[in-house]
Amino acid sequence: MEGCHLYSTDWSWCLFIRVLLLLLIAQGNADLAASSCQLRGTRWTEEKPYSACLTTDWQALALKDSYANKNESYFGVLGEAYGSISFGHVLSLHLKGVIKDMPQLDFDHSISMRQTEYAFLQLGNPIVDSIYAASGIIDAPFGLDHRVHRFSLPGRTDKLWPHSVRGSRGSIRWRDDLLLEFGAHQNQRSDLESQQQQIISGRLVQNIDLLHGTRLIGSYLSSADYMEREVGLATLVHNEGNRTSLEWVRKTSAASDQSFEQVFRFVHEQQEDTWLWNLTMEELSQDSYIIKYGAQKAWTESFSGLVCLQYQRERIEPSHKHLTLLLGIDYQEAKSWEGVKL
Amino acid sequence: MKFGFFRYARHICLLNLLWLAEAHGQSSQIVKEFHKDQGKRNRDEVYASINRMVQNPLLASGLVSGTESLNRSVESLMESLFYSIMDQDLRVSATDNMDITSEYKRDVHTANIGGYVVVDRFQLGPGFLKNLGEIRGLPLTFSAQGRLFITNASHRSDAQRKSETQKNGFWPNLVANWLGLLPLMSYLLPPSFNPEELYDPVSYLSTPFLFPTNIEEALKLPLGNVRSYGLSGNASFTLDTAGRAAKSLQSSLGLNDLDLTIPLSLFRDGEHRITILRRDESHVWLSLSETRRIGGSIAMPLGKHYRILQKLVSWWAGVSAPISPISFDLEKSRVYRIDELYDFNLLLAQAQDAFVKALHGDFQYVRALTAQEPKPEKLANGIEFQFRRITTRDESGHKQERSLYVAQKQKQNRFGVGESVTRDPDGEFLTLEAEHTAYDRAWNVLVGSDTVEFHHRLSIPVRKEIGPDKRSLLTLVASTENPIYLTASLRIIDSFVDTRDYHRTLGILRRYTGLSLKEAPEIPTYAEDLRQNLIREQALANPMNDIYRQQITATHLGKLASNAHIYFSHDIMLALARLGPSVLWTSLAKAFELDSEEWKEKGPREGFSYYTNIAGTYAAYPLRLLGLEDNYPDIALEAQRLRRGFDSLLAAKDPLAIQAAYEKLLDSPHPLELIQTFADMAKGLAVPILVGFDAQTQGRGRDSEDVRKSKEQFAQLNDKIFDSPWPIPPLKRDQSIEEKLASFSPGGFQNAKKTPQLAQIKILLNRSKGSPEARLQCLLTGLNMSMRHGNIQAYIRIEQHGSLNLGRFVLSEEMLKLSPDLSSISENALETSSDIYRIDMNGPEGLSNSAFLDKAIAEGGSFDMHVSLSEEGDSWGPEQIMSFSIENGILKNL
Repeated sequence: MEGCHLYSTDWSWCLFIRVLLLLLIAQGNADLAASSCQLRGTRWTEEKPYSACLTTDWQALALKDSYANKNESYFGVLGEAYGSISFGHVLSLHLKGVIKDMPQLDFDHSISMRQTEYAFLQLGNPIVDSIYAASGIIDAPFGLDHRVHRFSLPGRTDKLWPHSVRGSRGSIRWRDDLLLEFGAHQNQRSDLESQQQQIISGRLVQNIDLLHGTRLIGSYLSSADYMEREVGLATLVHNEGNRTSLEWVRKTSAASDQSFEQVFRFVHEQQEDTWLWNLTMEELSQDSYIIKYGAQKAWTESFSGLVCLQYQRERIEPSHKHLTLLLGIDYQEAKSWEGVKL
Repeated sequence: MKFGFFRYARHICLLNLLWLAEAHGQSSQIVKEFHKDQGKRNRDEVYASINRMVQNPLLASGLVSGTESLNRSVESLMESLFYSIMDQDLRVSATDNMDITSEYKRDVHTANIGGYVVVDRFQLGPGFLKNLGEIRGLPLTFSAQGRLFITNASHRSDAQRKSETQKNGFWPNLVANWLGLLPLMSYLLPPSFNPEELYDPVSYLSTPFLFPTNIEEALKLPLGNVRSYGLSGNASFTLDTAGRAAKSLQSSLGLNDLDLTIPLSLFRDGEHRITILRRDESHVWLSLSETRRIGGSIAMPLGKHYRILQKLVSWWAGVSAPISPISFDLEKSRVYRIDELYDFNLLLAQAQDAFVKALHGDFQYVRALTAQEPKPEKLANGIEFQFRRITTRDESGHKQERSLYVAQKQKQNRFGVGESVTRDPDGEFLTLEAEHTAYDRAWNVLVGSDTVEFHHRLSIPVRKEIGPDKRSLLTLVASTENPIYLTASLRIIDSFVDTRDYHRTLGILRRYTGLSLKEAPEIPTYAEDLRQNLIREQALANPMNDIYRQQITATHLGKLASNAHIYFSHDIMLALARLGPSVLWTSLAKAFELDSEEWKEKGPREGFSYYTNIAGTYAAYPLRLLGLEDNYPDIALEAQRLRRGFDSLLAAKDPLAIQAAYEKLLDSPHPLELIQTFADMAKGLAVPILVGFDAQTQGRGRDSEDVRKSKEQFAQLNDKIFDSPWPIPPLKRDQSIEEKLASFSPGGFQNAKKTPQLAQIKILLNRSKGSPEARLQCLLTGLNMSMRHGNIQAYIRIEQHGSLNLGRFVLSEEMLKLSPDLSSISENALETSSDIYRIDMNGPEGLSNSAFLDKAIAEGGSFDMHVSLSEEGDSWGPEQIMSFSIENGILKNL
């Protein structure tokens, strides 16, 4: 097994890699879109049926992080489940949870996570209604945060986009091209009550008829006491099933005139037959740079293999350069039900 | 059970089809026509009229004065990432105030669909800059520079690039394409990336040595290529007026991060240039031009150069990201210019001798030979004097730019009034001129640029006589053969047109010409089947991911270029001037999309609405100057200006008064609304109008049924001509001179020899009985074939019409030498100088790398085929596209 040089001599690791590589180059024809819930007909807006949707996504992952002459290997699972019940497009309930358990090989250390990502009630549906609102555990309407492998690869920019926060948000759409979203939330950074923070945020989205849809997004976020503020600009382009985004976010604090946190991020996802390629370049000012290149290959409607290589260069001590390899098998399933009209 | 039965039945049907094909052989064919018959009209004449536009004024001014052309003055993302690698300058300081600079620069301009003008320039010379002190705290500087320059301007296309590839061989080709990086970038980057910006760095670097010095080198020039060399220089005094008040205003607007200067300049510049243009196998045009300008300008650039992704890699300085939200430039100048043009037949000895002398700056000999000097030595064979023109003109212009790195908007307006004294082989004549050009360009990083150009021109033929008091008197010499008319031209080019752009273009043309263009297809903005699909696929998605949701967008159609020309005779303009004020107000209100009934009454009364409208104009003026507003309806001021212009026209008795009246009429910030008003007022009068379209569909992905229908409708517009019942007036003498001069900007070059045109593409798929191999063939019908068995070449590029993507996926690209398919030539073909060529697309004599076609015949596939024809590979006919698919071994039109 010494020949299997992805830093480890562990036989299970090598076997897993070999099987994955074989599967990645295997031929297959699958429609990746089949892993999401879809309506059966196109008369949904008129007929307003009850509908329910359940999607699950399970990934068996192997991750290898190499830095400063150290190698750390993790092997485990990541699961995401999303369910919704909708009463026409008027009222709907949505739940999403994430579970992650990746023990480190050779050491008694594990990366674990159990999180309710979303649990909210929504009035209206953005696809047909010009006004809609949601309340519960939701994302604050701020920025774009286009990320590939959000839960499976390490990142350092989580704090700039408030995800899974308790609160409410509303949205108003003018014509088809302008959308204003606003919300008030409690950003719970830790279990300590002293670190809970009231935030307000807003996002203005302009849709433009460029290629297969382009969005310009301007965002603002502030703590309720205005001590911390964030502004963001982003653009997202759809073209032939591909997505490209460029985003800038800057966070300043009234406590310090000099310090700020700032992110530039470029993401491109390209679909070619059964392959989905992605490229990410990210700069977190005075902190780190990341380049990420990955691919996902669909074998069947549900099964796919994924691979991603990430290079991260830290600018703060100890200034490590991380090279991270992620390999995995992904299983996705989607079920939807539609009932009689209201 | 039910589904199982249908699946079984489908298999049975497919088996039956395959059996039938096997037993009897199978063939299918598809056809696409390109040039439609234009009825009784002389097609060539109509096309010549349509293409009679008007050189790109900016390109022309860039070529003439050597000033920086518009499209590169503010960097975009593509430029800072890729194109800037071609623009290199080396500056060496000689003293504290002086340096010597050598500079390479490439500019690429869209000339028409699929065609570009590439201008490479090398210049070398000293620059001087001295701070002269301060006036009231404002810095005053003096600058001067002189340049020796050489330019190489050529009209290029994909076909030409491929033609060069095949001539050059492997290694030069590898270098020209940056070791294969250029095709890769064309594939990966969005449609706005233009490979011409980077193609062939070796020729680019050899620009200083490209100007021919003898006959042999001149005869090796590619057809239509324009090369020039000369000297230019300028001197200016500049006062930076961005004082404390401007800086504090900048600070109060929170724009401290940006750099602000407001330079006020007095300048004088000049240029001496010799230019050659190869017209055909033996003839070369050679021109001498002298330009002097003196004037003043004020500018206000506000912006900053940022750098992003710095230190991502330790040795990389990051990406330059210039932001320039506001930039404007106002200029007023007096221009004095001499142009002189000769045609040389380089196969004749005497012409060769004169040509070489002229090439080196000695024009005395050629002037003597062509009787331009008082005492001609002898008249020469092979040299034809074209003209010598001296122009004096007062010009004013303004330019606004806004660049946000991934998107840019640029506008330029130029107005000129002056006179020209021209001597041509028929003698000397004098014209008074008034001319307005307006150029709008929008660019974004995804789909590239679209341009709208207006060109309004009037010339008055006059005769100069010296009166008894020794003052010169101008007399009008207009006649039926040499009439006065105002020519209004509009050109719109969009290389990525969707249904919304298409409607906008049609709307502009309808407004500009007053023609209803009823036969232009009505295409719905959105494809309904796509909209329903998007709802079906996304309605049950997590609303928290709504920010990533794909919206329905206007259907992408392809590329579109359109030209419109209107001819208002002087008599028609006088008739318009005599119409009552309510007619003027009604037409103006329609042009500005206001309530015409309301303004018909209110306008002439000049009451509250009138003055409110004028107040709005003045309020919007600062924003307009900064390029932030251009939609305010200035109806009151425009009516005032037009009324004054019309009154002056009615009162004008002499040519200068007529010129002044037209100057008032034409000098409008709203060229579209101006001509719309004239066209509306002149309804029913004899106003010749011509509108032409060049439309090419583009396949982008697997199109839905509704998208395909839209593209089919769009394709019907190609080569369509719309006109009014009145004939187009003949070309005047001064216009003929203008056209010859326009030839020196390569976009304006019109090949004297007709280029071959594709009339039809037919693709046939044959599978003979008992043979497992299918044969795919293509029959090309070409028009304008002058050589019956000569060097006819075809450029063929096949791209995937499939699930791709941001870039262009080229499957095969090839140049082929063709021989006419004698079996397919009819007697009619001989009369119409058309030929039919047969090309094997697969098999042993097929296209190279044609395995994908065999695969498509077996498994199915969709393709876009681009074809262009040429005689000898020098100049190419327009590129045509045919989209087709092969499904179950059957050909289908897409």
